[in-house]
Amino acid sequence: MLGTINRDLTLIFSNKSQMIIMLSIIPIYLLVLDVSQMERMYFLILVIMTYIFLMTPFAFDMKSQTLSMMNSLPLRRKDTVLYRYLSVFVYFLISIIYSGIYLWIINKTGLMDVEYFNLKMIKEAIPYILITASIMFPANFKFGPRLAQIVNAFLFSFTAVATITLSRYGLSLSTKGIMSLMKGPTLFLVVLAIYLISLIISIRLYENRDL
Amino acid sequence: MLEIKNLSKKYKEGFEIKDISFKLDKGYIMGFIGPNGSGKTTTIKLIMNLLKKDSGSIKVFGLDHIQHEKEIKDRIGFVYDENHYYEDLSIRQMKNIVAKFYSKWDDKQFNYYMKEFDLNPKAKIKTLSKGMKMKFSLAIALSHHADLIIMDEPTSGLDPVFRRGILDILYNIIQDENKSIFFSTHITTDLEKIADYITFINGGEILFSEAKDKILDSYRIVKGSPRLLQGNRDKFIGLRETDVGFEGLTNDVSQIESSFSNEVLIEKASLEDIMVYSVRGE
Repeated sequence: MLGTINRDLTLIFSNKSQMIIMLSIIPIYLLVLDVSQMERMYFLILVIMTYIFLMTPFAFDMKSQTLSMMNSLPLRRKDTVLYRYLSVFVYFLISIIYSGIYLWIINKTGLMDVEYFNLKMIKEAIPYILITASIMFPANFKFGPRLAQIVNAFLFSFTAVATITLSRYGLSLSTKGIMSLMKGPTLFLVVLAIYLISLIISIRLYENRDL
Repeated sequence: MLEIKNLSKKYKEGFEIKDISFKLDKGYIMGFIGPNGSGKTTTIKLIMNLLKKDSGSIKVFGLDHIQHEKEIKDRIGFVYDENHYYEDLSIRQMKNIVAKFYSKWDDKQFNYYMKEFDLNPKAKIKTLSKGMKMKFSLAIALSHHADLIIMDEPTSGLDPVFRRGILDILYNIIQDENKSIFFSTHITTDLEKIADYITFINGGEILFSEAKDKILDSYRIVKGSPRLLQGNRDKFIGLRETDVGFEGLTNDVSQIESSFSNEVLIEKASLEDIMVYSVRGE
């Protein structure tokens, strides 16, 4: 697990240009996107940051074709998948801390009045991230980075558009649509079940895949 | 150390590895030869569980290669046919990623090879030449006290000086009788220098897997006039004919001597001769 996270973080912060990209994401979102509710912006930043932490290693794998190398290391395929699913929680936590510090600085310097911690949005972000990861990961483990990138791009765009739209009309994920049918613990249990099913599917797909 | 029994794998595209078996004991170097597309890389990928086998068994260190995948890979040093590392990272960054996965990673050993191979740890992998990338790959494979080194075409595309350097390193490794090396190549002259055993694969089938000296002793190149071939073609494994003569490969010297007496010239065959004529056939 630590080896996998060490690899991901090394890749994410591997060089200056990569670090500049990571540092620019939050200001770009704040400046470019027209999100009328600031708490929605916080939600979007959390989701996008977690997504970037998760997807950057996949992008590197696509560029350098490193699957053979990674799979020749002492690591069972089942563990590779399991660590990826567990890493979502780690990266979500890192995203809360990273975004919190970043947005707090922006707030304190008076550049913009932004939220840097919002428990309600964190609670909304968790099921959203788990559901998107449940779709994204099996695609990545079955098709490899190149084809999976299409699925990822779709989910990435959908997240941004959906959040802006919900924000514009003052809607919330937890009060409208399918999500409104399941509130509180029920929602989390259903999402967790979907996440576990996705994990089992990914393990099956990856264990039977030729690399 | 490495035992493969009745291993088969068929690709959707049609190519298949057909029921192959061979064994490598502790303390030896085995050369895995065959022309391009004969199944060398497929076999190595099957050993490393990068491809799923259809049938058969693969045992490494006496253990099933899937059930004990983690323990086995911890004791294998794997060198790839081409660069499979993150191109944008430096040597040091890449080493830091890989080192975390091995239980016996040895930084001193790695630094020793960095100096030995004249590699700069700050250099980005994408700036390295093919030879330097191969040396880096070797340094990684040799820095976690692996008992079995598996290499897929390590000398392919390298100049003779680099190749000789790599062979010297392999020769030094094998001085430890607990270690073994399995390496595929189509540059057979490399194997004549260091291999103890040769396994020859062609068209997905193993043609032979024996001690190098025994192979070199049993095969001969026969040279003679084309008229001698009449009715005798089946005595050769492979033939090359011109207007003025023929060259053929045999592994039955006594039969050739009794058939042609002093009319032919019989010479020792090199591994390259054996490979070329076996692939070519009659």
